[in-house]
Amino acid sequence: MVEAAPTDLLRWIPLLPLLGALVHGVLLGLLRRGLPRGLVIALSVGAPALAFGVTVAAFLRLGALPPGTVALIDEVYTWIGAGRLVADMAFVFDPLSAVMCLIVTGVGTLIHVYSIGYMDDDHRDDGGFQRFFCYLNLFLAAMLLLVLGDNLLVMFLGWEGVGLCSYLLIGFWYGDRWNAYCGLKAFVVNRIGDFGFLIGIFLIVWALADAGATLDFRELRAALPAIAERTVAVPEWLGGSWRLTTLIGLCLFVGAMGKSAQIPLYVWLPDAMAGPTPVSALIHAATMVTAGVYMVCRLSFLYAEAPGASAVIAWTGGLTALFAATIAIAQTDIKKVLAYSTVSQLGYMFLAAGCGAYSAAIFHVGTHAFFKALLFLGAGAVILALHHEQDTDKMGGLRTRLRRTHAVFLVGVLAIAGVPPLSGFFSKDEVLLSAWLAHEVPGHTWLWAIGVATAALTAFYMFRLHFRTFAGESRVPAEIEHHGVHEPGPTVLWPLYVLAFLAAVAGFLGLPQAWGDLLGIPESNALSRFLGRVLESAHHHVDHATEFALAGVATLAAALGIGLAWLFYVARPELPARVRAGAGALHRLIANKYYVDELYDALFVRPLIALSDRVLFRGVDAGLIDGAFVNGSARTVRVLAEDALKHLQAGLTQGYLVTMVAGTFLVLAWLLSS
Amino acid sequence: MIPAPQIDLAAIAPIAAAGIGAILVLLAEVLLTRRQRLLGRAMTPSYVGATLVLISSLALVISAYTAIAGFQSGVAVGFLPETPGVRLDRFSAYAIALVAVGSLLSCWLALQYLSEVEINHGEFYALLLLASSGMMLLVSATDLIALFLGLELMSIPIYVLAGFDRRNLRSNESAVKYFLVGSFASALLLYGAALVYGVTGSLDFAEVRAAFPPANPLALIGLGLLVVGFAFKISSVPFHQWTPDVYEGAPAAVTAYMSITVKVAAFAALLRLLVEAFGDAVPRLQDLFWALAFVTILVGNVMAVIQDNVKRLLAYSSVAHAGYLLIGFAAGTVESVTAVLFYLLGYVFMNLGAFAVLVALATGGKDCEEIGDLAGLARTRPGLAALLTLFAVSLAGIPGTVGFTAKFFLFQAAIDAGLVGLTIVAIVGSLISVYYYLRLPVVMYMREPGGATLRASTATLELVVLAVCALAVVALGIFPSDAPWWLLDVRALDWAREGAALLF
Amino acid sequence: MDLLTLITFLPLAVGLLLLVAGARLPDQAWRWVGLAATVATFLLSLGLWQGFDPAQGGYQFVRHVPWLPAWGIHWFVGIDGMSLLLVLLTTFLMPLVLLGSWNDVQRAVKPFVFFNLALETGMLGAFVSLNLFQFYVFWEVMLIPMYFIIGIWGGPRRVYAAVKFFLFTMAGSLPMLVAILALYVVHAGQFGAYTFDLIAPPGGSSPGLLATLVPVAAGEGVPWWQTQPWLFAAFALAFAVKVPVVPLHTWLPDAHVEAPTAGSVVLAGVLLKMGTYGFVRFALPLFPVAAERFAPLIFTLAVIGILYGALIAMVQSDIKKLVAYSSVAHLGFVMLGMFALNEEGLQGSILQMVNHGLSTGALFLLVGMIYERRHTRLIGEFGGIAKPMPAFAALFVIVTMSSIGLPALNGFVGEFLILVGAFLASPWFAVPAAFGVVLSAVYLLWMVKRVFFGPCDNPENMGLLDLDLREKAILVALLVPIVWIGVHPNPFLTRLEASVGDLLHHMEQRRAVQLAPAPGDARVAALPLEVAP
Repeated sequence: MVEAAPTDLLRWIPLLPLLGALVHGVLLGLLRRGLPRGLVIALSVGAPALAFGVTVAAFLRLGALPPGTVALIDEVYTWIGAGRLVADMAFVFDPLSAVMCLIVTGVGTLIHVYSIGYMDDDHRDDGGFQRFFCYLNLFLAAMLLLVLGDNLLVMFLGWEGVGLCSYLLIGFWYGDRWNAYCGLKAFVVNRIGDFGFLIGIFLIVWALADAGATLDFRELRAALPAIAERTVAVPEWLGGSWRLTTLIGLCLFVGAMGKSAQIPLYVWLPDAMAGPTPVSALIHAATMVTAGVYMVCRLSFLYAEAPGASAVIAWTGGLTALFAATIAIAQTDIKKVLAYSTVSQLGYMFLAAGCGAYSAAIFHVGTHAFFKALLFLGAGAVILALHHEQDTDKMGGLRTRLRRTHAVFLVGVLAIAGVPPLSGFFSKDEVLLSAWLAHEVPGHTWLWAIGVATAALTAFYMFRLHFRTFAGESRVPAEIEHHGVHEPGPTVLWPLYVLAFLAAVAGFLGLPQAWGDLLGIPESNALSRFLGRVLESAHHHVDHATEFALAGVATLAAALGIGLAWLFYVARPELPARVRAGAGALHRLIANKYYVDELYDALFVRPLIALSDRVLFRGVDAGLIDGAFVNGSARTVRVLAEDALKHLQAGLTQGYLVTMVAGTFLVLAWLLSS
Repeated sequence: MIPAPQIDLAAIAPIAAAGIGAILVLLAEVLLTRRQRLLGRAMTPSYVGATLVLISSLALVISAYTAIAGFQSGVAVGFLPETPGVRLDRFSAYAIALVAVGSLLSCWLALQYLSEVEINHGEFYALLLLASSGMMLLVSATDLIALFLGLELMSIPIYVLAGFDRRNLRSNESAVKYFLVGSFASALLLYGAALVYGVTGSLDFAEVRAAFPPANPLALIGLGLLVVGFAFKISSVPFHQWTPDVYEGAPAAVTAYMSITVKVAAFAALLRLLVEAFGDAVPRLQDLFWALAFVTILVGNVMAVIQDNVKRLLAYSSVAHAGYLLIGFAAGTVESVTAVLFYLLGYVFMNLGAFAVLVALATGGKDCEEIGDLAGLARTRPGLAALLTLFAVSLAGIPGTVGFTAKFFLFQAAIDAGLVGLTIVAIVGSLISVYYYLRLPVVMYMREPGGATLRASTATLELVVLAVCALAVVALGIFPSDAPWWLLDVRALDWAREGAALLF
Repeated sequence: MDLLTLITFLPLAVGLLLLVAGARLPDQAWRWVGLAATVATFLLSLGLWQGFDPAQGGYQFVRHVPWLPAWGIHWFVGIDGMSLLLVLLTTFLMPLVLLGSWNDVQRAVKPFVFFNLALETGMLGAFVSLNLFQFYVFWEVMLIPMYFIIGIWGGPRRVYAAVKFFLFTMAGSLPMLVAILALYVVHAGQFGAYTFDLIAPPGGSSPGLLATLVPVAAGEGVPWWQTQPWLFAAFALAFAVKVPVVPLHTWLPDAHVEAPTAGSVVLAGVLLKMGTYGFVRFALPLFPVAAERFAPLIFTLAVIGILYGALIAMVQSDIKKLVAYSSVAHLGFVMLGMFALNEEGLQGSILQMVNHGLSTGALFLLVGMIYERRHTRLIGEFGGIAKPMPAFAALFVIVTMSSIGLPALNGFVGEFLILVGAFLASPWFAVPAAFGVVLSAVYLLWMVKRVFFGPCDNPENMGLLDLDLREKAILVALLVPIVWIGVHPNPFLTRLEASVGDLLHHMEQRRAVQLAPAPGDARVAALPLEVAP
C-alpha cells in the first residue's frame, strides 16, 4: 500500500468552482436575477483561478513530502456505507492526479478567460452569459472530482457530472433543435459507456465481497493479488475462460470508450461541436474526453494484470486513431476537422495505455491538452472574426487579416503534426515507441505502423485545414465581409499566446532519455520519473539508435503529410477536385463519415422504438394484459349474467316453481345419496 | 280431564306484545278516523299515522325489552311445561331483539314514506306488527307446530304488505308471485314436518333429534323439504327467484322491512331447527349447505352486476349475503354460528340503512329506484349521498364498517373449520360485489344531476333511522365488541356468542 | 396518547372536526386548516426522527392497547428504520400535495381536503401497524379516499380509472385476508393462543405471528393452504398489485393519468410503497423459506418491469403517462434490491422507495404545474418552453436527473446499492437491470428535449408564465432531501442498517429452525425482530 499523508486542502479544489456554480445557479434558476457582468466574470473566473492556486499549493506540498509518501489524502466523510460496501467522499493527490489537476485547472482558467471575450456577443437569450459560466464552473468541479476521487465511486460521481455538464453545454443554445439533439446523443451514448463502467464496479465488489469489498484505489491495489488469478467462464467462442481482471478491465474500458470517444462509441463527439467553441476546447478536447485515459492509468495496476484487456485497449485505440484521421481529411467544417482529430489523438493515448506505457499516455494527454485547446480556441477566434462562420469553404486568405491568430494557430498545427521540437513530436514518439516495444500485445508492430500512418494523415489534414483557412485566396462571402473581419480582442488572444507557448515547449517536460543524453541532460524525462512513482510501467530497454530511427520514420511520415497538403492546397489547388472526381464513391464514403450514424439509427434506434410502441405498448400492454385479462374477466362476468343466468330469471311464476321443484329434487337427491 | 296449562307469560311476552300491538293499531285507526267523522274536526292523516307509529313503537319496544330481559336472566322459559313449544332463551332473545329493532326502525321509516307514496293506510302498521310477532314466534319455536305457525304468521302479512300499493301493478304482481311461490314453499315445509313427525313420532326438536334415524330415506326427505322451505325464505339459490321481483315491486319501506327481518327470523329459526332437531345426525348436511352457499354467492353477485334498478340490485345483493351466511351453516361450529348471528345484526343496519336512503328520496307516489335517479345526488343531497355510500361500502365489506367485521369473523370461523375453498368463493363473490356497490358512489359523486324528481327534505324520524343505522354500521365496524364506555360498552359479538353457545 | 398514535390520527381528527364544525367555513379556510394539520403532523414526525435510536434494532415508539383482545386484535404500533423513513416520506409529502393543488382543485374543495387528510391517516396507520388485522384495516381503508380523489377530481376517464384501481387492489388484498386468517389459525395451532400481533407485545410473553413456523410443504395434518408457498403467494399478490409488479401494473397508468395532481403524487409517492413495504415488513419475515424460493421469479419480474416499463415509457405521447410507466421501471429496481436478500440490496431498496417518492412525486407536481397552464400534457404540444419558463425548466431538469440516477442526487444512491446487492445475489439478473439505467436516461431526456428545447414555435406556449413563489417553494422543499440523500445518504442508511440486519438475521434463523427440525422450544427462541429494549 502506498503511503499517504492526510490534509484537508484538497476538498477546496473542487469546492471552489462548485460554489461558483451554485451561486450562479441559485441566482439564475430561482431568483431570476442576473449579476452585473463584472461580478459574473470575477466570480466565475476567480473560482478556477483560485482552484489552480490551491492545486499549485498542493503540488508544492506533494513535493515536500518525505520519500516513500507519494500522495496527499483528504477524507471528508463517509458517502455511501451499506453492508459490505463503504465508499468515502475522499480525495487523493498523487503525481497522476497532480498532473491532471494542473492541466484541468490551468487550461480551465485560460478557457474561462477566453470565454469572457468569446461569449461576449452572446445575446441569444437573457442570462445566457451567466448561465454559461455556471455550467462551466460546474464542469470544472465535476472534472476535479473525477480526477481527485480516491475511489471508483467518487470518480464515477465526477464521471457522470462531467457528462451532465457536457450535455448542458452542447445544448447550450437550446433554441436550436439540432443542438438539443446533440446534447441528448452525447448523454445517452455516454450512458451506454457508463453501463459498462458500472458493471466493472459491480464485478470488483463481487470479486472482493468476501475479502471485504472496497473501491478505494490504494486498497484495491493491495487487494488485487488476491483476485488476480481468478478466472470466469465465458462462452467457448470467446475462449472458454478469462481472467477476472481482464473482464473487469474490459467493462471499465467500455466506460472509457464512451467518455473518450473510442470506436464504437465515438459518434457523439463530432456532434458535440454544436456547443460553444470554448466548450469544445475545454471539455471535448483538453479535459473531459481524456477522462477515459486517466481512468485506465489510474487503474494501471489492474490493467497490468489484465493483458487481454490491455491488448483490446491498444487495438481499439490504434484503429480509432486511424479511422478518425481518415474521416478528418474530408471534412470542411473547421470544428469537425478538429473534433475528428481529437478522436484520433485519443486513440493514440489508448494505444499507449494499452501498450503499458501509461506515463506516455499521460504525457500525450498533457501535450494534446495544450495544442488541441490552442487549436480549438484559435478556430474559435477565426469563427468569431467571421461572425460564427465555420465552413472552411468560406475562409481562405485569412493569414494577412488575422495575423496573430494565424501565428498561434500555426504553432498548434506544427505541434500536432509532430514537427520537432514541439510538444507533439515528443509525446507522439513516446506513444509510437511504446507500440513498437509492446511485445505482449499481439501484432504490436502493426499497431506501430498504424500509428505512423495516422501521423502522416494527421499532418496532412491539419495542414490542409491550416492552408484552407489562412492561405490562398479569400473565399469569405460578401455578407460576412461587410460586417467586417477583425482580429478578436485581448481576452481571446492572451490565452492563445499562453497555450501556444505551452504547446511549443511542454514536450521538454517528458524529454526522452535518448534526447536527454544527446543534449547532455541527465534524467531528462522528468514527467515519467514523476509519474513512475504511482504508475505501473513496462520497462523495455531499447538502444538509442532504434529510438532515433523510429523518430525519424515518424517525422518523415509527418513531412510527407505536410508536403502533400502543400501540394494539394497551395501549389496545385485544382488537384483536390480531380481526386474527388477520380475516387467519387470513396470520397463520399469518407465525407459522410462512413455512414456510421445512419447505420446505428437503422440498427438500434428505429427497431427499439418500433418494438416498444407496436409490440410492447399496443400489443402486450394494451392488447394482451389490459384487453384480454383485465377487461376480459370483467366482460366474462357480464356475459355470464346477461347471456346465461338472466334467461333463468324470466319473471314468470311458473318458471320459478319449476326451478324450485328441480332444486328440491337436487337437495333430496343429495341427502339421500349419502 | 285436561289440566289447565300453566302459561309462562315471560316466554311469550315479546310475541304477545307485538300481536296485541297489532290489534291496538287496528282499533286505534278505526277510532281515530271515526272520531274524525263524529266531531268533524279536521284530523290530519299524518296525525293519525303518528299515533299509530307511537302505538306500534310501544309494542315493539316492549317486545324488545322483554326479549333483552329474557336474555339477561338467561334462564330458558318455556310456553307449556310438558311440551315447551315456544322457548325464550339467549338465542331466541337475541333474534327477537333484532327483529324488534328492525321492525321498530322500519315503521319509523314508513311514517313519512306512506304519505309520500300516497298509500297512507293504518293497517300497514298492524300487518307489520303481526308479521313481526310471527317472526318472534318463529325464532322461539322449539317444535315443528310452533315453527310452522310462526312461519305462516310471518309470511301472510308480508304477502299483503308486498301488494300494499294497490294502484301499482308491479306491487300487485309481486304480491301475487310472492304468495303463490311462498305458499308452495310452505306446503313443502309442512310436508317435510309431517314426514319427520311420521318417522320420529315427535314434534319437539329435542325428541326429534333423539329419535332421528339418519339412514331412513323418509326422514331424510322430510329434513330436505324442511330445508327447502327455509331456503325459500332466506332466498338461497335456486329458491331465490322471487326475491328480485318482490323486492322491486313492493313499496320501498316494505322491502326495507322484509329484507332485514325475514332474513333474521328465517336464518335464526333454521339454525335452531338444524342444530337442535338434527344436529350432527346427518353427516352430509353441511356439504349440502356448502353447495347452497357456493351457488348462492356466485349467482347472487353475478346477477347483481347487470341490474340498473337499485331495489333489484339490493335484492340480488341480499341473495349474495344469504350465500355468505350459509357458509356459517356449512362450517357448523359455535364460532360460525356466532359469526352468523353477528352478521345478521350488522346486516339489519346496513341493509335497512341503504333502503332508508331510497325511502327518504321517494316522493310523488313513486319510489326512487332507478340507479340513474341517483345521478349527482352528492350535489343535490350530499348528506344522503354520503350515507348511501357508507352503507354500500359496508355491504361491500370494506374495513371500518360492520360489513367488514361481519365478513371477517365469518371467514375466520370458516377457515378455522377448514372451509378455505368456500371462503375463496366468497372472496371472489365479494370482489364482484365491490364492482356493483361502487356503482352507487359513482353515479352519486361522479355524474351530473339528472332530471329525476327526488324528495327535497327528510323527515325527522327518517333522519333518526339513518343516524342509528350509520352509527351502528361504523361503531360495530370498529368495535364489534368491547366497545368503550362512550359507545355504551356494546358487546355485540359476545352476545352473539352467548346466543350461539346456547344451541350447542 | 403516544406519539405514533397521535401522528397517525391527527390528520383524520382534523378532517372530522372540519366535517362536523366547518360546514360554514369558506373553502380557503378548509385549505389552510388542512395544510396546518399536515404540517403539524410533519413537525411531530420529526420528533420520531429525533427520538429514533439508530444504534439499536427492533421496534421503537411501541404502543400496545387491547382492542378486541379475545380475538388477539390489538392497537399495536411501533416503527423501525424502514417504517420511520416511510412515515417521514408520507408526512413530508402531504403538505406539499395540498399546497400543490391549491389552484388545481377548485371544485368541491371541502371534500377534497377531507379525503386527503383521511388518506394520510390511512397511509400512516398502515406504516406503523404491528398487528395484521389493524394493518389490513388501514390498508383497505386508504382505498376509499383515493378512489374518490381519482373519481371526483380526475380527468375524462376518471371513473374507469378509479374503479379499476379499486378492483385491482381488492383483487389482491382479499386473498391476503384469507392468508392472514390461515396464518392466524396456524399460529394458534402452534401456540394455543389467537393473535394478530406480529411480534410479542412489550412485557407480553405470548409470541407473535413472526414466531410461527409456517409449514414448508403440505403433508399429514397440514393442508395446502397452511403452507408457506401458498400463504406467501397470497400476500405477494396483494403487495405486487400495489407495487405494481409487471404484469399486474395496468391499473397504474390509467390511475396516474386520470388522477388529479394530488392523487398522482400520493399514489406514486406513498401508495406504491405500501406494496414494497408490505413485502419487507410481512411477506419476507413471515415466510422466509417461500420468499427465498420465489426470489428468482420475482427477480425475473423485476427485471422485466425495469426494461418493459422503460421501453413503454419511451414511446408515450403524454408526459404524465410517461412518468407513470417510469414508476413501473423504478419500482422494478426496488423489488430487485429487496429480493437480493442482502444488506446492500435491501437498504438500497428501502432508500429507493423514499427516493422514488421524492423524485416521481416532484415530477408529477411539475407536470401538474404545466398542465394548469396549458391544459394539455401531450409532448407534441410543447417545445422550447425553456424560453418562457426558465426556472421551471431548470427545476424539471434537476428532478429528471435525480430520477435518472445521476450521482450526487438521491436516485443514484438507491439504484447503485440495489444493483450492487442484486449483482452479489445473481449477476445475470443485475446486468440487464443495470441497462435500465441507460433507458431511463433515454426516455426522460428525450421527453425533456422535446418539451423544453428547440424553438418555442407553438404560439400557445410563448406567453407561458414561469413558476410563482408557491410553486418554487414546493419544488425547493422537495429538492432539499433529493440533494441531501444524494450527497450525504448515511444518516438514512444508518437508520436502516439495524432493521435490515435484524430482518435478514430473522429470516436466516427461521430458515435454520425450519429446515433443520429443532425441539419445540426453539420455536419461541428469542427472535431478532422484537420490541427494542
